[in-house]
Amino acid sequence: VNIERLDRGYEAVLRLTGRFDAHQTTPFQTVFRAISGDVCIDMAGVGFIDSSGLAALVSSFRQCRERGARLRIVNLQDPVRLILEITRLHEVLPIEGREAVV
Amino acid sequence: VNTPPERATLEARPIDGEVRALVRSLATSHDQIVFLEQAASHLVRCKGPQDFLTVLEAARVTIGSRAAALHVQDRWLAPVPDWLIDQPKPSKRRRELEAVGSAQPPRDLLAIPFQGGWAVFWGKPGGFEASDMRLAEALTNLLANALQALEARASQAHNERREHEQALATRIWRTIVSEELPEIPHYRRRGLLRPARGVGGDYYLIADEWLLLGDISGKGIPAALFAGMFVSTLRIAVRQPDVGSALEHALHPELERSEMFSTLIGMRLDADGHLAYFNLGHPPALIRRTSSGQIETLPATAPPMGVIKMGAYPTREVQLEPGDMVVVYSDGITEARREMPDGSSVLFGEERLRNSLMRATTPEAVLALVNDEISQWVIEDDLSIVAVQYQPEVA
Repeated sequence: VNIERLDRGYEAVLRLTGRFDAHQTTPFQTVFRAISGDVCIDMAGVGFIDSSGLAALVSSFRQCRERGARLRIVNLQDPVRLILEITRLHEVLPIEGREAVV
Repeated sequence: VNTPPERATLEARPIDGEVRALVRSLATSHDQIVFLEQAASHLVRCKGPQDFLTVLEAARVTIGSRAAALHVQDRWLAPVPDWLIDQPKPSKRRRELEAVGSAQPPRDLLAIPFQGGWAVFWGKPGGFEASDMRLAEALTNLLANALQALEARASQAHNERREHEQALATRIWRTIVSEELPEIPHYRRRGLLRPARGVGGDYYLIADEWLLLGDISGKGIPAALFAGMFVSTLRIAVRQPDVGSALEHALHPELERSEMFSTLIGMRLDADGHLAYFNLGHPPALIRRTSSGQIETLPATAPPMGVIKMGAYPTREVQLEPGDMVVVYSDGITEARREMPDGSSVLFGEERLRNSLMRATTPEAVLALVNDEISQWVIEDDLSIVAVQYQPEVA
C-alpha cells in the first residue's frame, strides 16, 4: 500500500492504494498515530483487504474514539465493502459513501 | 708495547656485552614462550572474563611490571587506581596517558587496546622494552580471541535455550489448542488446524455439544496467547445461556487493550439435527444439503468479538437432515494465493471450497479434497477447517 497524507484544514486525509494486508499495517499505524485531529481514510485505491488490514481499521476507529476525534472511511471498492459486510464490521466502522477527495 | 692487550680489552668488552644481551634476550624469549603456552591453554578452558586475571598476572610477572589492569565488557576486572578508572580506551597502543581528573598517571606505562577491551601495565624499574610491548600484544591478541569465543558460546547457548522454549511452548499450545476433536453424538467430524508459524491465532474445539472455530487477528505468539484464552473460556461459556455475552464479559476488555479481535463461529449440534449458531464476523459456514445437493451459508450475526460490546448475541437456527454436511473454516484457506503467469495473483476463494464440498460425501473426503487442492497454493496465514456431518444413530 502506498499511504499518502493530505491535510485539508478540518481533517487529515489518508489516501491508501494497493493491497491492505499484514505488510502494510505497520506503516499505516505509524502515519495514523502522528495525526491528532479528525481523520478521513480514503480507500478508493484499495482492491483487497485481509484480517490484518481489518484489524488496522478497527484499531484506528478505537484510537479516534479514545481521543474524541471523528473518523470517516470513504470510497470503498466492492471487494473491500463485501469483506466488511461479511464480517459485519460495516455496522461498527464509520463508513460513508463516495466522495471526491482532492 | 702495552697497547695490544689494552686494545684486546677494549674489543672484548662490547663482545661480552652483546653476548650478555643475547643471553638475556634468549632468556626473555624463553620466558615469553612459556608464558604464551600457558596463557593459550588457560584461555581455551576459561569460563568467563574473570579467568583472564590469572593470565594477566602471569603476563605482569613475565614483563616484570609492578601492576597491570584489564578492561573488558565495559568494566575493570579488578580494582584500579584513581588515575585509571575513567581513562577512555586508547585507539592505539600508548606509552603514556593524559590525566583524566586530578590523579596523575605514572610516566612509565604500556596501554594496549584490543577488540573488546584494553590492557595496561605500569611501574617497571628500568622502563618497558620492545620485548615487553611484543608480549603485551601477544597477550591482548589471545584475550580478543578468547572474548570472541566466549561471546559465540554465550549466543549459541542463548539460541539453544530459545529454540528449546519455543518447542516447549508449541507443545503446550498444541495441548490447549488441540487439533483433536472429541466425539459428538450423532455427528461425524474431521478437522485440520495448521498454524503458519508453530503456534497461531486459529483455534477450534468441541465443548459439550458445541463446535466452535475462531480466528484471532494477527499471527504468531500474541495471537496464540489469545487463542488459548478463547479455548479455555469457551469451555465455560458454552454452559451459559448466552455464549457470546459470557465470552464478551470475559475477554472483550483484554482484546480491546491489546488492539486485537477474534472472529468466531459457534454452533450447537443437537441430537435431533437442530443447529443453533452465532457467527461473529467469521466467513460464512457452508451447509451442503444431501437432498438437493445445494449449498447454504450461515453468514455473520454480529461483528467480531473485541470490536464493540453488543451485550447480547442471539443465535439463529437451522434444521439438518441426515447426511447434511456443515463446513466451518478460517480465511487462511480462502485467502491462499497463487501467482499467475502474467504476474497477477488469484485467491483460492470460497468458490473452490464450495466445489470441493460438492464433490465429497463424507467429512474425511472434504478435508482430503481441500488438502489436495490447497497444496498447490501459497498459504501465508493460519489455516483451519472442520467438516461435520449429521448422522443420527438408530437407538
